[in-house]
Amino acid sequence: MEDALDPFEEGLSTEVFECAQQSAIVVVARGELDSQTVSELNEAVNDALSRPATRRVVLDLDGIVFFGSAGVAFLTQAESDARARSIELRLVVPPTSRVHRVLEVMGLIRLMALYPTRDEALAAD
Amino acid sequence: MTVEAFSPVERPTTPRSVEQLPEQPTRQPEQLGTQTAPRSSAVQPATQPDPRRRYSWPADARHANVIRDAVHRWLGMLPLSAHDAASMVVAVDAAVENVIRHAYLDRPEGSGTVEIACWTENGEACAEVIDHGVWRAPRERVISRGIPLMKQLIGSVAVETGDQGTRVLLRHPLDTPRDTAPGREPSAAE
Repeated sequence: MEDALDPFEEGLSTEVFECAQQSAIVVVARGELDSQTVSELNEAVNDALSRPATRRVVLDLDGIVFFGSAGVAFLTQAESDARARSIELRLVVPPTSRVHRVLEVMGLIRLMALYPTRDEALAAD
Repeated sequence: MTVEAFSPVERPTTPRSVEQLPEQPTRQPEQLGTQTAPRSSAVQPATQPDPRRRYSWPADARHANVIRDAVHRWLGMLPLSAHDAASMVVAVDAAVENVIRHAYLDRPEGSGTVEIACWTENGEACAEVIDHGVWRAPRERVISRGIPLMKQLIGSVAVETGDQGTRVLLRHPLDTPRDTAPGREPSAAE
């Protein structure tokens, strides 16, 4: 049973790049998203949302190994911020992931644009 | 409640775990590196670890991941699916986050403590997150942020507040042999 429990990675890393073809900014987050690390991702996403030409932001959470209440609060706020600026926020959240599970139990799945892979998030119209 | 009441603890300056178990050396968090059975196998059979733990940490967000890791390892000793263990960790993290963010607003940052008592009782995994902060009216609204998530993820959540601080008791049913029958998700999933 213990073998089924993956050890937690430590910390959070973010990567931001522009995807010119789809005119999107991609923010990739990996690691643990919690009350300590959320400010880092918040900064990256806010920066993406603040760029004048931004129409779409793809936030890739596929590499997130911990996602809790701090993550829920962050995503709720980011969704609201994006909507206020008429920016489309797309989340890469595999259906079997812990992020998906947490968003599901909080009833947030239908309120957010979720895609199983980054490619699908970028390719969709 | 099978765990005796908490006596006042010294304010630690570094992370530490507090073991209640007799004949077990106190283990430092950084030594709790693996998810295997406790190192006390010479004292207790590895297949029947005593699943009681008691931890005390500085109420500081920098320790949030270490706290989760400790709880995660404790859960790994129990008959609990990885899915349920992960849910319990998220619930404990939410309770700990509330302590870190709101319990000790009247003190210098990181000077308060967050304690976690872990035990099993009546077929349930129990984790109680305890602080000694001051309950204030504004905090009641803020703490509610994490409560819905806890309630959705695990069996039961009880919040008790008083002059001595706040206790959040999180309970989740352990797997029973019946639960491992076909039809239930295998515990090795995920």
